[in-house]
Amino acid sequence: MDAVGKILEEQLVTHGLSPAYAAIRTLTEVIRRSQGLIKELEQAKDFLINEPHSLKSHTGRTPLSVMSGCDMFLHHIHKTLSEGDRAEFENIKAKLVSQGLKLSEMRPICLNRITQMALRSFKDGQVILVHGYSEVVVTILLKAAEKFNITVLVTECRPFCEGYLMCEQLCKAEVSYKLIVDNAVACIMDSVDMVMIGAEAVVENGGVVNRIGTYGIGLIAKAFLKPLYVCADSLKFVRMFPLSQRDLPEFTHSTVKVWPGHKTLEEIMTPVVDLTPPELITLLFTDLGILTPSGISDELIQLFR
Amino acid sequence: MDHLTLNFENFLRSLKRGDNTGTYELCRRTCKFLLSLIKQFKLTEVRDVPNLISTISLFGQLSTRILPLEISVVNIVRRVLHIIREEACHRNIDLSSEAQRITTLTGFFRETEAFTLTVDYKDFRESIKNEVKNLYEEIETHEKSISDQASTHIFSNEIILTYGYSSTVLQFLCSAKSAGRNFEVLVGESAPLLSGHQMCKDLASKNIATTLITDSAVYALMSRVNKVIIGTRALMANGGLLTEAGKYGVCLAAQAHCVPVLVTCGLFKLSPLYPFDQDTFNEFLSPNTIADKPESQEIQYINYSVPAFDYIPPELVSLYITDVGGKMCSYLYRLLSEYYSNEDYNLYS
Repeated sequence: MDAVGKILEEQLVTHGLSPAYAAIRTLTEVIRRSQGLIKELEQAKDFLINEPHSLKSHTGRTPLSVMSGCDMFLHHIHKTLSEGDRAEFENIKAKLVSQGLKLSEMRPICLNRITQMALRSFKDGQVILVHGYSEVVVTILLKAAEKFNITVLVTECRPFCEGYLMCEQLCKAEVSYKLIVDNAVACIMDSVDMVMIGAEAVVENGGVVNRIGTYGIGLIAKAFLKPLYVCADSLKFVRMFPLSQRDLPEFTHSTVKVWPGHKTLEEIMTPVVDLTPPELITLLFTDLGILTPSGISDELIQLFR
Repeated sequence: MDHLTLNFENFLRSLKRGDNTGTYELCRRTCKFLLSLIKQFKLTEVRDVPNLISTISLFGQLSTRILPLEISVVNIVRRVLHIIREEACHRNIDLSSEAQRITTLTGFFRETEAFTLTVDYKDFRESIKNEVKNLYEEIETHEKSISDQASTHIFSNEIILTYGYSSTVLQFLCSAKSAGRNFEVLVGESAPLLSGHQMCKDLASKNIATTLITDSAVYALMSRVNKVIIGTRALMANGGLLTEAGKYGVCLAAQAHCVPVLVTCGLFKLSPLYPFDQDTFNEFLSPNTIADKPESQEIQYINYSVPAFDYIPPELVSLYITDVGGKMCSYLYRLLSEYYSNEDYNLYS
């Protein structure tokens, strides 16, 4: 299993792939090297999700997107194996490996499609609020800034301070942006035209799991009648139906360091993601098309058929 | 393809030139045109099916250019394209052109089936023609299918509010009356075009108790109203409505008084497009509709703004009454996937 950890590390760091696609690449490697396939794959998947490894320290992301990527790929593998002839195992293995590689390369295509659709929601002079760091959102904002005159408000996004990462990217592309503290969101919401977020996972009822604080921003946006758009590729769709915040898996809680200089406390245990229910979400931009939250369950059924 | 393009443009311009015949008339004529196109199109070899699809897509692109605000006309194009794709799928005809690549995960996971090379094109054309004829019939009879449901939604001693003129709503109310319901209708006059006046006359001729009210009285009278029933020009994919200007205020008033809003619209008006604000699918009418020719000094300082349409967000609508029954907003994605193909949502790709 150490080999699995090493492969994942390599995919994340050297190739710079996003977690879901890196997980698929790792599983593909496992297929390539395997002798007994399914058992090894299941073990590898459990390892990827549960053991602490480079992913946690990578960007403070939870293994949710790894879970969704693995689930989807494993479902596809099961289907191929059940339909294929057992005698030609080597052929099936080769086919699965090539499909795995092709699938893990679909990110730029999906990103392109999502950007094309999301661009339609922009207009000149708009103010967009973003929360958390999402490569999809960054791509969309950079593309939109080429065509329209937009301003981006970026939340600091504690405890991992991803807002600074987002600001770096926007600064490099010379997009006009402003960094705000997390608690200032309600204060500035009336001047915002739309809220745009990425997703760590999209759940069955159309809700979205994203960096902690997104639920609050969703509630504020709803109160001010501002649209909330979620941008995610369909590999993030996960077959989970959480009914409340407490229904999210154990690994969504983690310890973070407190603000330096505190005398008694050193670390706090906090959820790092929260669930934004579908009533607060206006539209989802995915590579499958523009979807309303009520359409997600249907798409999930199609993907897992 | 040039003579075809010319042919299409001529037809579309004739649609544009006609007097403001409503959505229904334009859709009916477009459907007939596409039916005649399918009858005459050359279908003898494998390449011809993708050709047919790209020709009809071209017609769709031209109609978005020449009639940009007639969303329902392009819907008909999409319905026909969906019919052709479904038929081709059933017969395992290869529809991919050289430029097509897999761009979505569902496309990736779908197995590539074996495509047949020998196809009975005469049979293929016949089935497509039959389906398009069904579509034509559906458009022609949509008002009847909708008004047949009237007695389940309107009951005696109710006060219904409607706004402006809509022939679908008119049929709907008349059908409820002939089913024996005794109700009263308030009609908002819908300035500046005052289409409510015609609606009032038509309702009165069917012996329905009608009251004509000004637009400003709508909020004041809303507390007495049991239901609001309105028609729409187009129904967008998220459940939003694209209607004549003025109905947004009516729906907001209804929300404030907790009055349900029912929208009657034929399925051909359901479009896979998403509007993001009031201006996405809007135009402005001539200032002449609200003001006489002003004095020359006044022109510098006065701005005349007459938007033609309103976008009503889906949260304000309670139920959509379509030819296939009453549907909720959360069900629309299902209707979309049944009647349109994903590849046709954006005709330019």
